[in-house]
Amino acid sequence: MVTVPNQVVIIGNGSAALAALEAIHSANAQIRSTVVSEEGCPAYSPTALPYLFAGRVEESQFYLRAESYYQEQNARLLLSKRVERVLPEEKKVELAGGEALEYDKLFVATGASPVIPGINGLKEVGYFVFKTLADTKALMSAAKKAKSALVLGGGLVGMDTASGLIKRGLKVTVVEKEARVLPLYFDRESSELIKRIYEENGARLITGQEAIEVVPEKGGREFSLKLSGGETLAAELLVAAVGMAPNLGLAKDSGIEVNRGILVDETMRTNLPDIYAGGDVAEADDFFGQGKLINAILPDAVAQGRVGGINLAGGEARYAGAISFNIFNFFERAAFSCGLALAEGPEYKQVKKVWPKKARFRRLVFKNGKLVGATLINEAIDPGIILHLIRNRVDLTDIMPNLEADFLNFGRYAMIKSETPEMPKGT
Amino acid sequence: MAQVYRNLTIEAAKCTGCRMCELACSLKKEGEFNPAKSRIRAVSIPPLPFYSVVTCLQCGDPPCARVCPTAALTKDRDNGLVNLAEERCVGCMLCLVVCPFGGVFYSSEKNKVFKCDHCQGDPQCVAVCAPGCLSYTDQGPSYASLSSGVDLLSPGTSACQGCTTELILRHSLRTLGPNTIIGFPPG
Repeated sequence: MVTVPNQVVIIGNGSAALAALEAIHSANAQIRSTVVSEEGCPAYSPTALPYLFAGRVEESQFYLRAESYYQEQNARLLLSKRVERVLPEEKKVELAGGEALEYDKLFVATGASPVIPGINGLKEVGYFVFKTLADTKALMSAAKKAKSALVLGGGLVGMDTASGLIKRGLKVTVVEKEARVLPLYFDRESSELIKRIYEENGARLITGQEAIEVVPEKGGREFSLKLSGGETLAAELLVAAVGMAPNLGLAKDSGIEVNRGILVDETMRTNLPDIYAGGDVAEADDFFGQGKLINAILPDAVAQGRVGGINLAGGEARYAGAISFNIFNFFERAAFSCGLALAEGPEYKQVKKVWPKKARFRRLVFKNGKLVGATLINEAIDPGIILHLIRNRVDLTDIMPNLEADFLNFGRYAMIKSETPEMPKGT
Repeated sequence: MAQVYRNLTIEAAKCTGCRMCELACSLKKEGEFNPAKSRIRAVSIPPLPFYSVVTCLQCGDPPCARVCPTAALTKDRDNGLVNLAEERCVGCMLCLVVCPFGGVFYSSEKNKVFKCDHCQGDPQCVAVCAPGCLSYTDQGPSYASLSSGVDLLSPGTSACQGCTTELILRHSLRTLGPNTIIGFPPG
C-alpha cells in the first residue's frame, strides 16, 4: 500500500535537502514540507566556497534558490533553527527553544562537519576550518593580514585551501599523515605529479608525518608546530582540513541506525519507518556491490535527495549506488578520478599511459570489458561520458583497439553507440 | 499550456566529418575559427567509418542544472534551453562530470564552462551543415522523423520536454504502478 504523507520535515538546507524537496513536490504538490536550517543564510553549496574564497564568484551570485522558491514547492523554510531531538515514536522533531514540528515523513540531511584533530595546544593557538560560509569569511578575513599558513591535511579540502592561500600570496605548507597527498583518489604516481606542480608554485608538501603539538609564539603572530618526524614549523595561520565526519548526533539519540554515517537502503530509508536520509550524512550502497559507503560529493547528495524524496512521497525509486568521483582543479590543470580508480587484482585490466614531462597521466581500469574506474590528469576528456560508460556498464570490448589513438573520441563514440540503437549504415 | 520548443537534431548517418559546424560555431560565439572554442564537437574514430557530433542536448531534466553549486545552469521553461549564467560559473566542472553526452566544455582561459545556446534561435552549425546532418525543427517533425530509432521519452533526450502527452503518460504510470504498458499513437 502506498502511503502519501501530508506533511514532511526536512532537516537541512543543502543539496540533498533541496533535491528531496523538489522530488517531493514533483511527486505530489499537495504535500506540505518544512525545511529546517541551522544556518541563517539562504541555501548554498559548500562546493562553491573555495571559489568564493578565491574571489571567483561574488556572494550575490552564489546562493542556490530565491526566497520565493520554498513557497513554490509548497514548503516553508525555517532559518537559524537547530533540531535538538528527533522523537520517532511521536513523529516529531524538537527545535532548540522548545518548538516541535510534527511529521508524517522525515528526511535527515544534516551533512557533515570538519574533524578537529586531537593536537595539544590547538585550541589555544586558534585554527580555521573550511566548511561553512561563516568559516570561509573568517578565513578570508584572516588571510588578508597573514603572510604564511599551515594546512593540516592533504585531502581535497586541504589541497584546495592551500592553492587558494597560495594565490593570495601566502607561503603555504601542507602536512599530510599518509604517504602521499590526495590518497583516496590518486595513486602514488599521479599524486607525485600533483605534488610537483604545487611545489613549482611555491608550496611545501610534507607527507607521512603528523602534527604532535602546537604552541603559540610568545609576542609574535606565529605559532610553532611540532611534527612526528621531529621538525618544527612556524606559520601565522593554521587550517585544519583532516577530514569530515557525518553529523550523527540526532540520529544516534533517536535510535536511527548508524555506522560511520546514517545507514540507508536503496530507497534511502533508514531502519526506522518514515525516516529517510541522504547526502553527506548517509551511508548508502556502493555501485560496485562492495558494501556501503559515504559518498560525500554533490551529485550523489542530489541523487540521494531525489530518490529519498520520491520514495517518502509515496513513489518508487532506487538509488543505483555510489560511484565515487572527483574533479580537482589546481593551478590551471585538471585532475579527474572516478570509480574503482585504484583497483588492482587479476579480475581488473589496467590501461595506463604517462607523459611525465607534460604531467599528463591516464590510467583506466576495466572489468569484463567494462570501464570501472579512471584516473586522468591533464588529459582532454569528457568526464561525464566516462561516468556514463561506467554507470551504464557499456561493453567496450569491440572498440578497445581504438582507445589508445584517441581516448577523447573513443569515449564519445562509445557513448553515441550505447545511446542510439541503430548505427549508421556501413559501420 | 504546452510549450513548443525547437530541437537541434543530429542525424549521424548524414555526417561527413567535414567539421564546418565547429568553425561556424566558434566564429559566431567567439569571433574566431577555433574548434576548441566550439560548442559543438566533431566525433570521428579512424579507421571506423563513423562521423557525428556531440553538443548540449538541452535535456528536459538536466543533470547539470541539478548539480550546479551556484545555480549557474538552469532550465528555461520558456524556450527549452539549458541556460548558463556565466557570471555565476566558478569553473568547478561538476556539470562536465554529470553530463552523459559530453555537451558542456571547459575554458581554461576563462576558468568557466561554455555550452550551446542555439544562437538565439538561429543556430549557425545548422546553417552551414551541407550534408543535412544538423537541423533545427519544431518538436512535431522531430518526433515524426526520429520515432523509429530513439526512445523519445527517455530522460535526457531533447524531445522529453514534459508536454501534456508525456505528463498524462507519467501520471498514468505513477497511478497504475510499474509493470504497466501504455500504447499510444506517435506524436
